[in-house]
Amino acid sequence: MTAPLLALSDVVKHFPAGRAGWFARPGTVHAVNGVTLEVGRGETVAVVGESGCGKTTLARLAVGLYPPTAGAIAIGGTDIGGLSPKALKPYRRRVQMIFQDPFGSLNPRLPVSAILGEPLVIHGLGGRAERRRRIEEAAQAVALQTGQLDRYPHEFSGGQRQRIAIARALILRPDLLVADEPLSALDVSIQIAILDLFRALKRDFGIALLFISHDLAVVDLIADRIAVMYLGHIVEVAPRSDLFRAPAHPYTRALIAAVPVMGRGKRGPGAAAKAALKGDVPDPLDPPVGCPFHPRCPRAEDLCRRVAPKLEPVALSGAGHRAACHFRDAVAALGAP
Amino acid sequence: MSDGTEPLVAVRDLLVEFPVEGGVVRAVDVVSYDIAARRTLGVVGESGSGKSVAALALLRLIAPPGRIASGSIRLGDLDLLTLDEEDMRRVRGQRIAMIFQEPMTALNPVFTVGAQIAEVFRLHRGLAPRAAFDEAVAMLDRVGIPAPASRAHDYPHELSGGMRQRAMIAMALAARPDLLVADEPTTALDVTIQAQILDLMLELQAEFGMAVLFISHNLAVVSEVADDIMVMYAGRIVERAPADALIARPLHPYTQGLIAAVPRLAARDGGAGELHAIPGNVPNPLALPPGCRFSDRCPLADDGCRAAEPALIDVGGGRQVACFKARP
Repeated sequence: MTAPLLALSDVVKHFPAGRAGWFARPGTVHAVNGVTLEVGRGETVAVVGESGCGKTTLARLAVGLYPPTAGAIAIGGTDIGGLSPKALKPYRRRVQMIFQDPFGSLNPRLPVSAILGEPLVIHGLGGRAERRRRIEEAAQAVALQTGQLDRYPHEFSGGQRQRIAIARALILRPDLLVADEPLSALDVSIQIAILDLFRALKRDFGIALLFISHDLAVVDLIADRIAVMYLGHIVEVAPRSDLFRAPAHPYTRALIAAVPVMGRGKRGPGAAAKAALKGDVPDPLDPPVGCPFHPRCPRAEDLCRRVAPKLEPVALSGAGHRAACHFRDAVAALGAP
Repeated sequence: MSDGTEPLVAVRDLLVEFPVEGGVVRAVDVVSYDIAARRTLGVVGESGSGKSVAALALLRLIAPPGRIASGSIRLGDLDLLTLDEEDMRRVRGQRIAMIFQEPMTALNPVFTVGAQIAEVFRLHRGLAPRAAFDEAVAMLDRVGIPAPASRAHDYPHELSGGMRQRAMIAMALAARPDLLVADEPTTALDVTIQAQILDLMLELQAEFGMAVLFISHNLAVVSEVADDIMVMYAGRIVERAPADALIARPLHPYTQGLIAAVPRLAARDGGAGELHAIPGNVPNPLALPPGCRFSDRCPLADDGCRAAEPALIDVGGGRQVACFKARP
């Protein structure tokens, strides 16, 4: 069996605590707390969760922007943790990142051709003619006109800028794109065009995708597998259809139920009862004991307040569906929310 | 509106202009609409559609050099555009209140939330400081803030995003306004918190009886709270209809495009699987296409659409649409 393209094993990332100065409160933010996740060749894995769940930190760990506090990150079977910056370079080429804000992630002083060519320069790839050819090829893959290559980022709309950012990521011909909320800054009518672009990259080039999003409705359109994060943990992971058909973690159920529905009419009192998630995400400086979700969980029992559940198989589903809930089988049996 | 009663707010031929380099942008370009008492009017549009400017104009909060160039806004007997600044200040807060996407734009960071809400009770209801603070605590309790008596002494930055949104709603509703203008009130929130805030707004509306102008780019969210929905595009209203009718049978090609572009959960809501992007981009406000402003992106556009701009006309059933091709 060949090694997966990307393998995170028990990855932990802690940051030194938030408050400094007069109101200092020492502590550690447990941003990612023991995550194991693989992305296969050509596979699209989505990571969903709310703000503060650790999904962006996970994305940055996957591309090597942060070193993990503990655990291993392997690309094509090679643990990149111990590598020198120089030895790391060829692996960085295989994994490229796309950020949420296409206004902040493009250098305003460079024309598009130079933005796209910069990774080639950094990695010392190709001569002048070869670089030009690859720039045009990447531009074509994202449907940018060759005539637009001499323009500057401010001359483009948000959707076009996101295309430029994607072209820049593609130019190194990576095996994996890590996209952190790539649609969130775009207008509704533009989002779908960018989503279609990701699907085309997957179909035409076999590129794998680690797609970070807060929006389950978007994820439903693109993911092969979905991992749900809460307070630094993966609480459920499943093939897309299993996750929506038989969510086995109460948090996943609540997330699905909270996605607004078009055409159901005005929310009635029933909607409130259905959403039924009380309270806020706990402070990551002071995570709860036991299951991280128990303070908000409608099913929490004494066991949940004492023992943190592990990510384990869901009996009702096929292989690959796992949830970190003591009552995962009973929850999955409830069916779609 | 259609039941023959007087609207709470009547906006007529409103024009809001912003001078920019190279011309004047008509952010809201001669629009007329009514807001009925006790009802929720949703306003949907993309960036640059004019939806937020139309809302700020109701409170006369257009930042210079932008200005309301012409038109009228009536609130009951008051003609808001002719009031002096002091009378207008009384209208803000007392008759019309506003909440925003980012609560920190409305909450003062150097005062406790209790003190800020108490100030509304002192200014608009003339309560003594002690009584005003007690009312503020009661209001925090009403919007679902746990331990309100101690939370009232917190500064805004000490509250979570969802709690801040609740505190802002408490402040907005403290003077029992007739109209609450909510500009993307849940956009910055996580979905589970968004659901809580939407439920809270509906509950408070039922209890206090105010009208709500709910502005969002998210048609699905709007459809969950609104009685009527108004769709804006490039400074104009292109369609208005009862919410259910608009979603079930959109008449304007832009509304149809927006609905087709909203991702749905296939397993739960049935649905699409396939989504359709609207081709092209929102037009540059200084270089609008001739005729209908949507004509350069519209699948149905013909020479007639590029020659003249369709007016917003009544098509029955409480619906209005601005399209030559729309057939009710």
